[in-house]
Amino acid sequence: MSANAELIADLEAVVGGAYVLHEPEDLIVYEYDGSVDRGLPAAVVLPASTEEVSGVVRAARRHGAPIVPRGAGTGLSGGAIAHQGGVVAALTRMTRILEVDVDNRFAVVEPGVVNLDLTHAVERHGLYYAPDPSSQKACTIGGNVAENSGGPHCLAYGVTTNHVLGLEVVTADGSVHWLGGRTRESPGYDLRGVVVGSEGTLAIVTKAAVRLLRRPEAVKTLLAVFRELDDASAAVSGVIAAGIVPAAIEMMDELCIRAAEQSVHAGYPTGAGAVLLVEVDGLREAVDEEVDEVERVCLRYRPMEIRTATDPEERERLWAGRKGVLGALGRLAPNYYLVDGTIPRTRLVEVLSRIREISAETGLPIANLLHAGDGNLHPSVLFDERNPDEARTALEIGGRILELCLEVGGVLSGEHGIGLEKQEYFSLMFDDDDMESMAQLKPAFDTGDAFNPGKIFPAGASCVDVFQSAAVARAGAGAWV
Amino acid sequence: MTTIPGTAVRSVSEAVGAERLSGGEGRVIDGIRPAAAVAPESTEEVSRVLGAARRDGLGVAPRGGGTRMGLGGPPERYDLSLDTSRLDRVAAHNPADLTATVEAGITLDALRESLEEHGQFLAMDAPRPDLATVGGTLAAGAIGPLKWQFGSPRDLVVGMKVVQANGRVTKSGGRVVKNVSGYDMARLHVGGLGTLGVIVEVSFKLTPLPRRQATLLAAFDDSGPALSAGLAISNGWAAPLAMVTFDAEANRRGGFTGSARGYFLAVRLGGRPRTLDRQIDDCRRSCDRHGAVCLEVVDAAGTPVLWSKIRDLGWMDDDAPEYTARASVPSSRLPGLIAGLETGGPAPAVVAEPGYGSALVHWFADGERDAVSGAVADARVGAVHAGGSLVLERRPMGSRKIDPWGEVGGSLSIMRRMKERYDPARILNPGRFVGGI
Amino acid sequence: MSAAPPSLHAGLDAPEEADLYKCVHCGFCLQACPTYVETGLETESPRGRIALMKAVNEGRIEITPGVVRHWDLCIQCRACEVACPSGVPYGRLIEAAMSQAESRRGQGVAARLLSDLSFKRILPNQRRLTLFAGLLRAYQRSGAQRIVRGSRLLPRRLAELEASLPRVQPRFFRPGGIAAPARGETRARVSLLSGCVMPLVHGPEMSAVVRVLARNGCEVETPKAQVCCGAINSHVGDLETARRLARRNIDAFNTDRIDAIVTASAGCGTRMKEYGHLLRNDPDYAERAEAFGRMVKDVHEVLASLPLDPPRAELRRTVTYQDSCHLANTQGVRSQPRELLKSIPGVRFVELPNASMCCGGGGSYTITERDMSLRVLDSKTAAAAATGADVLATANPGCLMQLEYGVRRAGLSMEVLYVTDLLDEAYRAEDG
Ligand SMILES: Cc1cc2nc3c(=O)[nH]c(=O)nc-3n(C[C@H](O)[C@H](O)[C@H](O)COP(=O)(O)OP(=O)(O)OC[C@H]3O[C@@H](n4cnc5c(N)ncnc54)[C@H](O)[C@@H]3O)c2cc1C
Repeated sequence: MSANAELIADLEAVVGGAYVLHEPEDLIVYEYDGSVDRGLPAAVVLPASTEEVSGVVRAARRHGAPIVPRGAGTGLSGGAIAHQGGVVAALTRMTRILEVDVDNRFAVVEPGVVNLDLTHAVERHGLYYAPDPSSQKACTIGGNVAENSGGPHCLAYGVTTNHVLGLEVVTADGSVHWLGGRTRESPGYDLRGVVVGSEGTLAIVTKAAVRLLRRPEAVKTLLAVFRELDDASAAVSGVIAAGIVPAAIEMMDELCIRAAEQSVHAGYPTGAGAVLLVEVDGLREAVDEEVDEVERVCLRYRPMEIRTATDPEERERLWAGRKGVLGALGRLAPNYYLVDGTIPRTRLVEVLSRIREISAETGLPIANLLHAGDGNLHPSVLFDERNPDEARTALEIGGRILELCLEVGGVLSGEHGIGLEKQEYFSLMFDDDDMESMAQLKPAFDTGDAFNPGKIFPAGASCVDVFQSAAVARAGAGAWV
Repeated sequence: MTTIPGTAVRSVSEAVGAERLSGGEGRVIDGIRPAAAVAPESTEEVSRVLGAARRDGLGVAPRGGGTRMGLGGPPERYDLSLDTSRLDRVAAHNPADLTATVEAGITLDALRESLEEHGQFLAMDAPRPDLATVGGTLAAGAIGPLKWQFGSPRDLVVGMKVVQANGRVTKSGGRVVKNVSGYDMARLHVGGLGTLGVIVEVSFKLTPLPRRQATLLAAFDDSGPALSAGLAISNGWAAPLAMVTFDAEANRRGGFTGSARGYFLAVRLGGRPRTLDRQIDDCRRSCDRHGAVCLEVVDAAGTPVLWSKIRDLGWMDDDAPEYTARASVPSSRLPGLIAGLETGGPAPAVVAEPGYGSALVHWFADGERDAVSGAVADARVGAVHAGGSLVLERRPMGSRKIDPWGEVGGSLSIMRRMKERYDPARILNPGRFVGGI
Repeated sequence: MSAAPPSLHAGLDAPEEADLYKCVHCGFCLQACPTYVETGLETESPRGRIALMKAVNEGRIEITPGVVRHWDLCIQCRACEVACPSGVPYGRLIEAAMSQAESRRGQGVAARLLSDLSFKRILPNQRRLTLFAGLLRAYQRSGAQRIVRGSRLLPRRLAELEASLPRVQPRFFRPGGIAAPARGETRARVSLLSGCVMPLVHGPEMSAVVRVLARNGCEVETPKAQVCCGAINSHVGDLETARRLARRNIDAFNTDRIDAIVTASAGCGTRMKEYGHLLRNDPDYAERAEAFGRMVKDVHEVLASLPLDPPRAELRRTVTYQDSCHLANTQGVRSQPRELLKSIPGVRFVELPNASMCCGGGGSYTITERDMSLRVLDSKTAAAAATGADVLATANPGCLMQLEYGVRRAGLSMEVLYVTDLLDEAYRAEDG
């Protein structure tokens, strides 16, 4: 038997033949995630329980094969890609909600549970799971934990790490551990806290105990339309500076508005240069008082129009433009390259205008949609990948925007992670000592570098240009989000 | 390994100069007096001190305001007290971004004053803010009543600079409120008791001060209805900033309210005028429904005073308990846990948080030492049985009867490996953390 | 991409590159896909199937039986199209991929013959189909069925298949001329597609459709020369036969004198609405096909837009509704059937959770992919049972047959009825 055949036989002994995939046509569909990268695994295995995960890890380790955990494969930084081959462990069969504790407001779920399914499952108790990435209809809790995912409503409620009480994980030796617990505090190092956001490099999450929140009494959405992008940005800074922390503040620029208008006919006035969506929730009185105040702040920045909505359908209409915008960008250009970075909220006006300059200078349009409330930018470079020059320029622009974020005191990623996509930028943010200290963490969980090796940290050369051309070569046609 | 006292003094004064050194008196931990204390004035100096300590194998205990030096087990080695109190600057405050970066040695009070000018605060209200430093509070995992609304201080940290045991200065996170760039290392240092590194600088997200504040104080016949009322409030629409129940013993010692008998619930509320009124109404109704015998609204001026008393109970030098324990359990198990405390042995003073699932328990021994340690051990069993944990925040000097941390389970092996990685020479607070780490 | 290997797709019916590369593999389609939800396998997801089409297009893989297997397992419910933010025309892609597969299928001779016989010779020919249905009806009524079932002689798979056969109704619905004059003032003139299987197995229900239309002021005609719409052929990748049928229908319907071409079958509606794309390369028909497509309306669409004259009699039923994929996903008809049901006095309407998820029906899918079809079906029936409704309403024959079988399999007492059946029942009650 070849080495690979032996590996496959060992994996099959753990999960059964039907759940080990190794034919070319099966591997091809596991070579991508939501990002630009690709990599063919040697095998894909779909365990159905913690015991099976543990068995899979042991089997793969015996053969020295790297293990790449995978959820729904919606990640945007290449975290689920087997760029070094090895075994993809897809957790999509572990989809049970094991426990819903209404009194103590938590649920224990398997990692393959889809984010929105959890909310649906607890809805009848008036509860919900707060982190709401735009991909929540598809992405898994395991992936959310690994990427510490956020979403529009994380401004007030915090990102994934603020909602995870405990995790059951399988480490590289196949052993099973509970990190944290079902209570708000547990003694010892906060291992749970470092596994969250570790991008599948430390351990495989096999169960998560997550907090559930109660649906608010009232919700109000305010839509403010501005002629100038700068006014909208200034209004965001104004709201934060006024000491208001709404549930969400989202922003879209003129290009996004145009795309959204084409696809969902959101009804924004012509000549609009930016829209802000502000959602406030909580006690009825608090919502009224806060929306009034947000409106007062917005009025200082020459809005063309302000609308508010309370009933769910009307709110849905206001949100429609924002929710549909990412897909709708496809109507403006064949491809878009979405950059994720965070800046201090006081620098919005400046950074957006610098992005505008970059766009003018390079000739590629850049559409800006932002989780503006927490300074999380998603500039999306529009291009046509059939033109290799444009593709290269798009990636270069991505790099320049990230450098810009760092320059004003921001960070490389607000919610999508470093993965493969940004590993060569990592050293722009952290020096060798910082990286060394992070790297030391891995062996404490993952002796032998089994999980997702070669991610996050720069792979040898730290020259950004090298990375860019490599990424262009790596990226397949159309593979740009 | 024993260290010759002179070594510590020599090696540290070589590193940062003798003028930074002082004697070890007043720095005793568990009866052990270090050879020297050093107070570096910069991150660079901390790095040099640790470099020297590493070279010479000194046991080092980092120290902020010294309020929590009794936390954890007895030190394996203790040669040097590393005092961070001179690292006390606000490095950056960006009010319009609601973020700040501060050095670890700044006291909570000093930071509060500086933020208040801008109508903001850091939602971290550990006891004795006059002494407690940001770094010490985080390392000790000290936590006050505001956690009810704002969660653990962990959740407020967005970035951190740490000097590792090898003297290297490392940072993680950033200065912005949302970030997934590299491992969230700060999480390990919060509650890590300085065993993996010395925190020297922290970036936080801040919170706007509530426009108005008030506290609803309710008295009940006993703990059952008080806790039920608290639970009802946490299931209602009001969003308290903090909510605690306390017993008559706690009230007597802390002087929270005039009444001598009964069991109490205090709900701290904030917001704009109409919001505040509505919340007070809601909470009042919940209390009435659960048989409150007396209700009182403490106004905006009285509220901070009341809550600093609640926060500081058990941490005043003139009335220190023998044992202080923090229990954390699923919130539905809290009433059972408290009932157990009331009936088992010497009665402690209990301040508990319904809806959050934690209780601070102070045993003021007043002479019955053995009975008290028995009660503490029972309380641990009760908390673990309820699916939670109990950590001793204070214990009698030299006492080794009860493991201050309790069992942490199978993940201890990972924690041990971590210590081996970050502090192989075991110079930072050796022996004091969970499982003897 | 100069050095890229040539595409391994071939012919005019190959998936179009412009369509393929709209997919940015974001994964939003996964949870909408019944086969992915059942298996958790990327290989059985729309994104995976498209990835295989791309790989073929990029010359990285041949159209092997393994590849085809994953395409075959697609029910073609097109729920992924609705979920897709990038507007990938999946329906068109999978049909094209199936046509690629079709030309390379290494099937056994017997299977080949059988499928040729049924799909190429019987289905497109209404006379032969009627004859076949007549035989089936005789089998079901003569007692032969009872004997066969009692004997337990059939192998398991065949027995299962036999059990899921629809019960052929005593009367066939036969097209030809004016089926019904409008009652009262004529509000619209419509031509009804009577379809291929539907008039045979659901004759009385077709008559009910005609009555309900007429009751609402529609003059209903059924052109005699019409043939099967070609949907089933398209699904299995036989686009040539589908085009032949489309051309004949375009000739059969006289679109000048009517307001709409009405279908009571969602799959047919979708197929006919998309005749334009099907015949885009046919210079003689391309334009007419486009125009024809625009005339096609689903009966529920027509009724709701008239608007409906609600029945006055009460119907005391608790009704839930399962979306038909080809109505909801491709024609966007979701609210209309629900509105119609709610307009019947006395009806208590309960929403079926995840009503837009396929029931596993999908034409020949129930036969070709029996196991998956049943897995999907059983999940659906369980959800329907949980609503506590006593009627499970549907707006499409394929769904009705599949759901009826599901309800029988689960031993539920729930009735499965067309929306138009319930309307008809209410109108008849009102007439006394
Ligand atoms: C259109 C679109 C919109 C998006 N919007 C947002 C948004 O608003 N906010 C946001 O934060 N993200 C967003 N994302 C990114 C992505 O959806 C999130 O990162 C998500 O959490 C990934 O989940 P997944 O299940 O798809 O994980 P995958 O992509 O499969 O994996 C992501 C990482 O998690 C690891 N992993 C997965 N499961 C486990 C496990 N059980 N144990 C250990 N490691 C594991 C993988 O190894 C990988 O490193 C968006 C993506 C798309 C395509």
